[in-house]
Formats: sequence, structure tokens, C-alpha cells
Amino acid sequence: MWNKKKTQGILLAVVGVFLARIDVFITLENTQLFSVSAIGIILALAGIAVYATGMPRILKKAMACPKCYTKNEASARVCKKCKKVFS
Amino acid sequence: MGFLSVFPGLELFTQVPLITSVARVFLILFGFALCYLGYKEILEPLLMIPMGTGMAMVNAGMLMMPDPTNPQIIKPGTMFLNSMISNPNEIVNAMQVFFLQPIYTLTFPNGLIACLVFLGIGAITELDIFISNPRMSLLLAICAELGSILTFPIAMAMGFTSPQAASIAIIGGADGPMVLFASLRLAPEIFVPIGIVAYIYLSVCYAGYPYLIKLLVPKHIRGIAMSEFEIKEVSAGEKIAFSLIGGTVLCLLFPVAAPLFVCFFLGIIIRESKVSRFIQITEDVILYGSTLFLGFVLGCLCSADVFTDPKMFKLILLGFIALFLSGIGGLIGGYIAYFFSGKKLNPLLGIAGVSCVPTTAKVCHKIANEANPEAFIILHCMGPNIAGVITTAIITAVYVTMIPKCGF
Repeated sequence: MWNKKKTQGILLAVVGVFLARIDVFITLENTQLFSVSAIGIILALAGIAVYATGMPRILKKAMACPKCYTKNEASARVCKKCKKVFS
Repeated sequence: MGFLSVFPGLELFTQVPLITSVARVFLILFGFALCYLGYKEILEPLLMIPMGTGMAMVNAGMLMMPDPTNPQIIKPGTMFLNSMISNPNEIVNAMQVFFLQPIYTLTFPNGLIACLVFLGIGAITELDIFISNPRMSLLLAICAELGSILTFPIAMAMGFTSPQAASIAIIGGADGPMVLFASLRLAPEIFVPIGIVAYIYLSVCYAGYPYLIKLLVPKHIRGIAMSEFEIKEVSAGEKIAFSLIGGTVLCLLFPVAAPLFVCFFLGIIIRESKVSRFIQITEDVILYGSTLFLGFVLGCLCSADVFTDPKMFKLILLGFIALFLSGIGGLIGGYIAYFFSGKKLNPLLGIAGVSCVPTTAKVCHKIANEANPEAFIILHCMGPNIAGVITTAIITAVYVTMIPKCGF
């Protein structure tokens, strides 16, 4: 399902990538290039994070199998991986 | 002809400098010790058993042989592999002589082995756990990168160049494939000693971090039994879309590290696509197969001449500093989260932020469980653990991209 947060995230990431790779378009001194690239990287990573917050989620209780540590639903009676029976 | 010439490996002790002979004996015994400690599960068995075996046997199986680059010269060598050759003709000749040379030549210098391990790590990554509490997981993981950041200036102060210092600093991320990838891209001349030191130390995390935790965290805090784990489940389709978009953005940002990102996200996509045969081959065959050869080849690279290189002692010290600082950083992050959560969060979660999937998460869980049998925190630990992989990958990508680009 597409929503506003996903669009914002992608736009932010695109701006970030543009800034991080700005040396393709213009020549900058090392210090300036480092600063602009660093800002670009941070923006792009923030864009991915904003996109992730737009993903629809369902809250569920989970538990780990005491034997193989696999994630199982809290109501499970048997481990989905190693088939250990939960007491 | 003397009696010793019946056993070329023994005869060689009389033909090389004393320091090399002493190093050989030490490495044979060290290999035995690593193998034994791996077998007893005191150190990480998946790595230490093949590595210890390779280390002991490569140092026992030395003999005088023609130098592959100049057959007129006879010098000590082994029939395992030669990591020093780079000329294509010599490589082709070496592949017909040394039994591990094809694996080394075709998978190590190009970083393929690191990418295969990363593909397997992607396939065992539960993205849901990270997405359930990304802010806390990322906070802990960033704190646990203290070693990867602070070791960089320390290594430069100890005389290493900036690409070498960055490769060494990545040891603090405790993620073997990243260390291999960074050193192959930035400082291939010291890739062998860095790889050996990194993998030995990664295994030492397994044995060493419990002592660090017990030293710095009182028992009643270690045993905090956190609330039942609530997972915010995201549909498989959403996770595949996230992997595609996240992977594409990261590849656009850091093209040099694109092979690592593509393998990691491909692993996640395979897991979420529910194609059982792909999942089986990536989890069981690719991950464990590449880990076996990685450990074995690194053990076989640990010959006496590498070990007696003066740089090795600096690397051993810096590797220790990097992992120690990361552990301390992780615990600082854990304590910050502990106080902000109203003393409900177990600060051991910070150590799980030192990526090393899933070793550090298991270590934290075991320590908490020892302190309080009702504390079952493995799922809580996996969030920072996965975030640790992501932050280490990003720091590696930043070093690999920025250092050559900005000319530090």
C-alpha cells in the first residue's frame, strides 16, 4: 500500500544521493566535498528510515524457541523450525 | 643425507632462522588450542575448528621448494597456497600446484567469499525484529561502533596510512566479511594479517565479552527479564519492496560497496520470497560452506612468515583496542537505553549491537539467563544485532567510498 511517508522517504533519499554524488557535476575542494557528501549520505539514510516508517505493521506477541532461538508466535505450541514442544 | 631429510617439515627447522622455527612451533600449538577451544565451544566453533586445523597443518607441512615466481630460487613454502603472487601466468601455474589456490584466487582478492557470507547472513536476518523497534536498535548499534570510529585515528597515530587505518578500524564492527571487504578494497597489502587478526578476535568476542559484561554490569541488572516481545509484523511483499528500495539507494550512494549490499538484500529477498529451495541453499550451503572455506583458508594463510611480520603485533593490539572500545560503547549505549526506559531494558542489549550475527546476541542472552533463569532476551537482542550489521555495512561503505574520494 502506497502512502505519503513512502513518497517523502523516496524523495529525501533521491536528494541525498544527488548531494552525495555531487562531485559528478561540479568540482569541489576535499573539505567541501566531504561535508556535502556527508550531508547527502545522512539525508539518503534518513529517507530510507522515513520510507520504513510508512510500512503498514500488525502488532503480534512473539517468543523465541529455547532450543534453536527461532522466532515463533507467542501462542505457538511447537517450534516452527526444530519442532520442539513448548511447555 | 641425514635422518631429518626423511621428514622435510622437520628438516626445515634447521634451514630457516630461529625466529621462524619458534613461530612455526608456536603456530602449530596455537592451531591445536584454537581447534580444541572451538570443539569445547569456548570459542566460536564454526570458525575456530577449520582455522585452527589449517593453522597447525600449514606450519607443519613446510618444505624447501622452488619459488613460483623464479624457479631457480629454492625457499621454504607449502603445498597449500601462495597469496603473494599477482601475475596472471604465475597464478595459472600456482593453481596447478597449490590445492587451495583456486579457492583463494577466485574468491578472496575480489571479495566474493565475503559477499557469499553476507548473502547467507541476509538469508537468516529477521527484518521484522529490527523494524519492531528501529530507533532503539540503531541507537545501540551506533554506540557499539565506537571501536570502528576511534580506532581509525589511533591506527593513523601508530603509523598506518589512512586506507590501512580504516581497514583496521572496521575490526571494531566485529563483522568478518566487512573487514575482509574493506581491507581488500583499501589496503590489499595487509589483507592477510588483518583477516587473520579479525577472525581470531571475532571468535574471542565469544569468550571475552562475558568477562567484560560481568566486570561492568552488576548481576541484578544483568538479569533484568524484559517484557514479552511484541513484534510489529510487516508483510513479506513490503519487506521485499523495502529491500529493493533500500538496496538501490545504498548502491547509488556507495557503488564501491555495492557487491556487499546486493548480497545482503538478495539474502533478505530470498528469505521473504518463501522459495524453500533457495532458502535452504543460502542458509545451509552458501553460508556454512563459505564460512568453512573462509576459516580454513585464513588458517592456512597464517604461516610463520606472516606471523613474524612486525606489523602483526601492531595489528593484534589495534584489533583488541577496536573490539574492546566497541564493547564499551555498546554497554554505554545499553546503560543510556536502560535509564531512558525507566530501568526496564536490559543494558546487555548494547553488547548485542556489536554485530557479529548472531554470536553477540547469543552471548548476551546466555549471560542474562545465567543471572536470572527467567530472563529470556534473545529476541530483544536480535534487533540491535541486525542494526549492528547495517551500521557496520554503512561505516565500511563510508570508509571505502570517502577515503579514496576525499584523498585523506
